[in-house]
Amino acid sequence: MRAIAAFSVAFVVSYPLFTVNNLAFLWYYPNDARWSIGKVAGLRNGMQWYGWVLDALIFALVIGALAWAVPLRSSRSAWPALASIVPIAMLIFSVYVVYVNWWLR
Amino acid sequence: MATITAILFIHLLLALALLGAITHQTISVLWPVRATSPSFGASYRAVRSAIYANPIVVLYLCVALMGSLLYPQYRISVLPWLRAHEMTPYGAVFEYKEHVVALGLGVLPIYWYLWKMVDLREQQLARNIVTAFLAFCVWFSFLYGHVLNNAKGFGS
Repeated sequence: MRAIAAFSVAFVVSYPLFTVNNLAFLWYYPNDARWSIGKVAGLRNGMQWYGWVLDALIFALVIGALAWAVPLRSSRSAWPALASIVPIAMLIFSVYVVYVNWWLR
Repeated sequence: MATITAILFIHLLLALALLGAITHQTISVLWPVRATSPSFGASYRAVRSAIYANPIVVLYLCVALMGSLLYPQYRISVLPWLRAHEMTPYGAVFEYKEHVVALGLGVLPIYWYLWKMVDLREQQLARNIVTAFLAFCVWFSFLYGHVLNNAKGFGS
């Protein structure tokens, strides 16, 4: 339970943070049908969504593995409670992420 | 273009199936039937919620995969059109949709675990919240996808 919940919490927390900071190591350029590690100068219309998801997935796998390997004292209901509340907070935070990406940049 | 259209329709049909399943499950846990009744509403709510979990996970992954295949075409042909017609906010809300879908992907493991690996008499509040969260993700994505499709128009 703890590892699964930690995975979900880590994913939903890290994804908007990668997004708001434009941290995608994988980019896709649909006009050129080209994938790249990092942004390629000169190419336009770069898509970062795949990279953000992949970043969050890798981060969540690491955190999930740590939660599984490292014994922590926590009540049985703490992790499910966290995993049910945090996504709602990140859903609201994502509104801010869109605002930043579309109107402040 | 024919391939994109085919993927769009498969995406729509799978999304419809997902919408039906998650709505059934969410209503059955948030508004459970207390006594047996022959009414349509009671029958709609009186489903065995847990059996929906696996199909919902599989459908969510398939719909997200289909959406990710369509996404480059959106960036090439739809988003520039929206910008050219001063409909930039439509693009912004679409970006929110992509975040909503991603957050739903992150929640899938704990959703599945709470439904399939935890006794249904335990962790009910967490299970209900996660299920309702996923239902919001599906409903928002479905409705906004429909709005966006209408904004430009099929085949235009």
